[in-house]
Amino acid sequence: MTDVPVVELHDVTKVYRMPAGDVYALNHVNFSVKKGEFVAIMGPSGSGKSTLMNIIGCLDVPTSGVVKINGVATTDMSDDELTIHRRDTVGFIFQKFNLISLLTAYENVEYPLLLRYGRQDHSERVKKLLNMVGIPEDRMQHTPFELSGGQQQRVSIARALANDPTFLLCDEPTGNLDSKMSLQIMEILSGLHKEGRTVLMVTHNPETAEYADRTIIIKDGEIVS
Amino acid sequence: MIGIIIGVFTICALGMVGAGLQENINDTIADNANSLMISSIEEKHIDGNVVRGLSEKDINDIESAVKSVSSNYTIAVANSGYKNVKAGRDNAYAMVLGISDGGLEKVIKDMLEVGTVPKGPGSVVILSEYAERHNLHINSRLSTTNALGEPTTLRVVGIMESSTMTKMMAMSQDICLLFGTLDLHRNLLGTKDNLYGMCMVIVDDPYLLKPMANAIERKMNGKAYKDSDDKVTITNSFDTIDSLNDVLDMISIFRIALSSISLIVAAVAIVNVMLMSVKERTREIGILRSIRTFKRQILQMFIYEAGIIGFIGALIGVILACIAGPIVLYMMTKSLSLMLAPSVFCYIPIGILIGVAVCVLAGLYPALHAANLNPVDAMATD
Repeated sequence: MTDVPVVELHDVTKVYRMPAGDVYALNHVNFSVKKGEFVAIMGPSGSGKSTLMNIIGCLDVPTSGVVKINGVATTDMSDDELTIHRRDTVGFIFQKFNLISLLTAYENVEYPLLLRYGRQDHSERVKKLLNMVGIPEDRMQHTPFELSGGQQQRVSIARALANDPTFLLCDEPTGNLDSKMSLQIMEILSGLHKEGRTVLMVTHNPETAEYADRTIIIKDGEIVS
Repeated sequence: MIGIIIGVFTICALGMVGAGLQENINDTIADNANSLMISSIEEKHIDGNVVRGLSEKDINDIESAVKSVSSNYTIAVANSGYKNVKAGRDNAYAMVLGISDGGLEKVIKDMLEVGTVPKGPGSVVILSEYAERHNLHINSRLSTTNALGEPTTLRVVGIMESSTMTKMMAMSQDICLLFGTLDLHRNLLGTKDNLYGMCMVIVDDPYLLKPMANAIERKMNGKAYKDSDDKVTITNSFDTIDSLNDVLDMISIFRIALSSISLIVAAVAIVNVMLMSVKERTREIGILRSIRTFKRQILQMFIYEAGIIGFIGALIGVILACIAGPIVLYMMTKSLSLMLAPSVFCYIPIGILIGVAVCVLAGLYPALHAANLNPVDAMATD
């Protein structure tokens, strides 16, 4: 199983049809990520990073080409299948944290578990996850509004890990944080990587990219190196 | 929310008032127009005299015709005649109406204001209008002459309100109606033969009168609706009130139209509110979708929301209608007992059901819209 890449893109093209003409957000992109790798994707804004992320994260489908996650092609999946796939394999970490503001930190992490098992979790898993990312017990019942940016990102990492996904997909995880917070978040991600998790991270900060085993640079929808 | 409250309020309040009125009018019809009167127009030759009246055989024929329609009826025979009576110093021309036992009770009991049903040849029930005009009370005496011309007195045992039927009988305000037994009639006017002047069929459900009248017509006069060579004529007291029903039907159509309009307005308001709610939470929907929420779960979320809004709105609307409906009904009918009639009461669950249904239907489009949002686009909005 180890030789099956976690993420595999064959000739992936994504075209946005605009009145002014077609925009090639991704142009025949090929690459793969093996299990246990920490890969950073870098590139200037507008280079197609986000599109790539969305396609890997099964939020979007390519115009042409094949995307295989865990060796399964996502191209022909129905919306529900994509949702299940997303649930079981991808853990999202966003630049803007994207926590649900009505729910507490604890409930935000619990939510994916509720969706998956349809009942409340009694295994203390949520608490363990929050402890692991460094959210103290007394902060768990706070809403995202009452937490600092760094803490919000920690909660969102815990949420991403809740369903024990195959890989973590991070979209500029430190983009909204100051350098000190960034460092702490990157330490957590790096720690997860050392535990054997596969991490894909989009960034345009070379410092954070240094944590990665490998850096892919993308420009104008094509992989440069 | 306001929209659905107003919508449900309109349906319920209008429904209640309308149903209450209908109920009220039905009661009035049942009270007043619940009888057929059949009298003979055939000339019979008995002992060389030419007389008119219904024989025992005619009565039996009428009863069998009535029975073929419904077994829920009372049949009575009556004789009438005219007599001068004196109440104190006032002279009056009176119509004496002797009705057979079962029928007398049926005709009089519901309309009796005070007193009892007359028994025996010397007691009568009079109409309240007449009692007021001549200052008569229970146990007042009326003096007249009996069939042999000897003076006799009659005792007033009851006073009753007038109805459609009594108005038809009296024909003129000046004629005093004296209700009593067949014995009363025999006492005052005597009997020449074994014929009855009139046969009455009394029912609880006025809508039975028409088919009964037709059945009697067929049986007694040969073919139905045939005018010539008739043996009997039938007077249906319900006919006078029948036209009232047409008006009621028109009112109920108006009622439905009015509440439909307010419901449509409510639905538009709900669609609006739900769309705004979707718009506000676009980003949240995107997040939910990205962290593994199914389309149908998003759909459910918004439909539940619409249902809850609908239920609460409908509940408030119904409560308001339950306050306003009885007030209006009371002002129109001066009675609150109508509120408990099933046809009025049933507007409460109907109102709630319609409110929730309209909300869920109106919420469907925004919910579908929300469920079909592209998660990427949804998350990009702020």
